[in-house]
Amino acid sequence: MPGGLLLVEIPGDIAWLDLVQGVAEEVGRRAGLDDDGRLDLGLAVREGTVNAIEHGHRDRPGDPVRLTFLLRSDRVRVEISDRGPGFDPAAIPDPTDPANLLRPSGRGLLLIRSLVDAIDWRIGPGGTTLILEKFLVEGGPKEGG
Amino acid sequence: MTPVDVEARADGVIVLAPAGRLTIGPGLAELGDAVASACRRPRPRVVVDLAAVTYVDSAALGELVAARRRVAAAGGAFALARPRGKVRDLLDLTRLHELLTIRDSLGEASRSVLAAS
Repeated sequence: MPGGLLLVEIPGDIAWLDLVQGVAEEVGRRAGLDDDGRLDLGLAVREGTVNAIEHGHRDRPGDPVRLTFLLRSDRVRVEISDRGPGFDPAAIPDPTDPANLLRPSGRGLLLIRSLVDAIDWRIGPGGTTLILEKFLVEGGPKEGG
Repeated sequence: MTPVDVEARADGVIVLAPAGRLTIGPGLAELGDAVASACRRPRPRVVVDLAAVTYVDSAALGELVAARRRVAAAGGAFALARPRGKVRDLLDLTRLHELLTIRDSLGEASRSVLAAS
């Protein structure tokens, strides 16, 4: 499969989540992911986009969210960028702690981590970018980067 | 997702059956409304049948937690029936199987809420 780059920018509104999930699943299909892999990628991108809309843009509703899909020979990489101030992943309460099980929210990051092979963040003055990777090669990518 | 199917059974159990993808948006709000409606009854006994749900997102998991709390506050009992595949995986991952009553059949789930009331 040849590499490729796809850019999608949506208004900061959950009404667009089905579209970004659909794009992610189609990118996964073109990359050669199986049914489970495509569903996992689509759901992870959906959750990441919800986070960008609801948390990154909490004080700026409607601001656009930009998604970059990168197809490489050994992985699919998705970058989800908002204009929010960022957050400290380590400061998010563990939703599986018995004390937190009754909380109605706070499970998104846990789901994302379980659905992709790698996760990272870039936090800068212009906003926050969540980086998700799904490997196409068993055991990890063939080379770094 | 398709609309939530609501069945008020003769034994008093209210079965709510969403279908397809249960994710943040109007469909999830419909499930919340159905739970709220069930809670207008005294001691509601509510089962959410997940057999036709293909996957859930974190908002849906949160809605199930909120539903359990709402039913308990009304003096009732709440259970999930027949989560499958990815849905079951995510309930286990988030350890909600430790909080929520989950049964592999609709009959078992119904009996559990009747026994608890």
